[in-house]
Amino acid sequence: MQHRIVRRVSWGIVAGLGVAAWVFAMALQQLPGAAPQPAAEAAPDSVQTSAFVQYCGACHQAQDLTQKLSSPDAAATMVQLLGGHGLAPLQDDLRIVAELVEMRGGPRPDSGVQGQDRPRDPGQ
Amino acid sequence: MTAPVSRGIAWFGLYLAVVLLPLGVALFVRLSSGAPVPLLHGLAVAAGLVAFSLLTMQFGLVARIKSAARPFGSDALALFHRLLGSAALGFIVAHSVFLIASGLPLDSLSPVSINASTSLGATSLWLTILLIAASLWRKRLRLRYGLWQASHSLIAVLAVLAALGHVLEATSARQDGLLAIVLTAYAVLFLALLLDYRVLRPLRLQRRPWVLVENRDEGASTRTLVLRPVGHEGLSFEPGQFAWLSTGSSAFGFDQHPLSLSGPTEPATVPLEFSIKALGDWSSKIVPQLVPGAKVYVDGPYGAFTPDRVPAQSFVLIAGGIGITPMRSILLTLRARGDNRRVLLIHAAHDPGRAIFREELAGLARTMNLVLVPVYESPPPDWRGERGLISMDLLRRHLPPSLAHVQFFVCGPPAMIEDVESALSRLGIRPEQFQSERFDLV
Repeated sequence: MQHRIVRRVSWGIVAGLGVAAWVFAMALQQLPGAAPQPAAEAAPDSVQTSAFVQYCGACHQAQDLTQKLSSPDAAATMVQLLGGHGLAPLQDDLRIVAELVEMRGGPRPDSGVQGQDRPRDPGQ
Repeated sequence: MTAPVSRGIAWFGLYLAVVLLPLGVALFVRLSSGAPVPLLHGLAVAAGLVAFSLLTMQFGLVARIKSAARPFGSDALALFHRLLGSAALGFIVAHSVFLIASGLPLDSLSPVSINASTSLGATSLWLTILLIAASLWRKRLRLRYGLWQASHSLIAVLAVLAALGHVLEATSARQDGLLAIVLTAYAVLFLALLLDYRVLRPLRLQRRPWVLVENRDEGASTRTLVLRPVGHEGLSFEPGQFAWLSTGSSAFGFDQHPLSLSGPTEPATVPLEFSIKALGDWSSKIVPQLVPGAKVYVDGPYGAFTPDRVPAQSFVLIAGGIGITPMRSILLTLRARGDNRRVLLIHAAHDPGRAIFREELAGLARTMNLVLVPVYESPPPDWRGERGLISMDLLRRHLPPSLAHVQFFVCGPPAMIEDVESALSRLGIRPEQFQSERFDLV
């Protein structure tokens, strides 16, 4: 086969993949489901982490960090990360968690922070 | 539309569908149960999935699968492999850039990153960069061919495994079980092909050794190795095809070389011949030292560069340098078959001293329907024939008046092939009339 045809076909395939990636991202952006929200009204002791874990799981970091929230530094890193996503409400929640952790010298067993399972949100 | 073109389109379509399948699965999973995802994040996921598919599919392109290579030719698939490999790297880089733009810290590009998933992703990124750079600049980096082949395979496996670990961590965090299954299947297919390529195939070759019966000096820094099968019936091939030759002590060695078969295909008892020009470390150091009785291994035949698969009333063969070897096979076979169709051979070389098989070809022109046109870049002062490079004017001077039923075969350096492809296209030659083969696959 002529190599210039191979080159053209290759560029065509790469362009097609690029368009498909764009369409994919647009479709995900416009999903009808509700965006994950933190339990804004919940008391600090019962902060639910599943929402941000679910969200930031997509960037592959939250899962590990969430399990390390016994350290105030890890919680602070998480706040920084979420800041990168522009998730101000979640940052507030995390600050509360971090403060709780710091105050108590470690998370309470019922805080829903340490040792929790992977998110069980039915939306995922 | 001709059958080969249809088959080619079908294969490319299948390839595109396989690459896009994980994206489709991810979209399906998200559409059925998902919340909106920011655009940058969606682009990162998409680029990552496309990159993973491309990376795992890469090996299938060069795993010597005959049915896949048949419509295109192995060198076209090798070119496709190279281009899509660079594209895979482009999508991996895009994946990283989109993630960083959406908040991932820069230090996550380090293989020792903040968690297992990002570490594996970064490892895959850097391994892929290393893989592509070593392939693009192998000669510049003076990497020995065998060493490059071994390291290419090893780095590719590590890159795919790191990428698999990365995507499985990510899909696990999002509970995308179906997507994880699909991506794992791709990686398993990759590893299965590799197992066949690196273990099962060498095992088969090990049971079918060949012995060197003659190592002939053809002049012009070229040697012809003549081989006979040991304990098996040998192989049948079509004129113009090539095979992978391994001259090491075992068929499991990485030092395998794609070489055109230069002898005739008929009669069936004729020994195999490979004509090899001293162009690299193996061809200039190992090949001259091979002595009769040496055991070698042959994997083949491969390639679609053959007149046996295309209907034609006459042939135009255009060869540059060592690109003459498949042409010799074609000519010797046509003569052995008593095929009297007209053949025009345009044979380009730097000067008469470097024109491989010059005297043998002149002899063939006297015994078959062959018109030989030597073209020398730097001919002696008394040379009255064609000189310079193969140009459109030169082609016009020698091509037959009617080109409708002529098949063109071009083999030589990449620059020559590009020029001839372009010139023939301007002369109105249809793609299906034209076969080309580069001899520098890597």
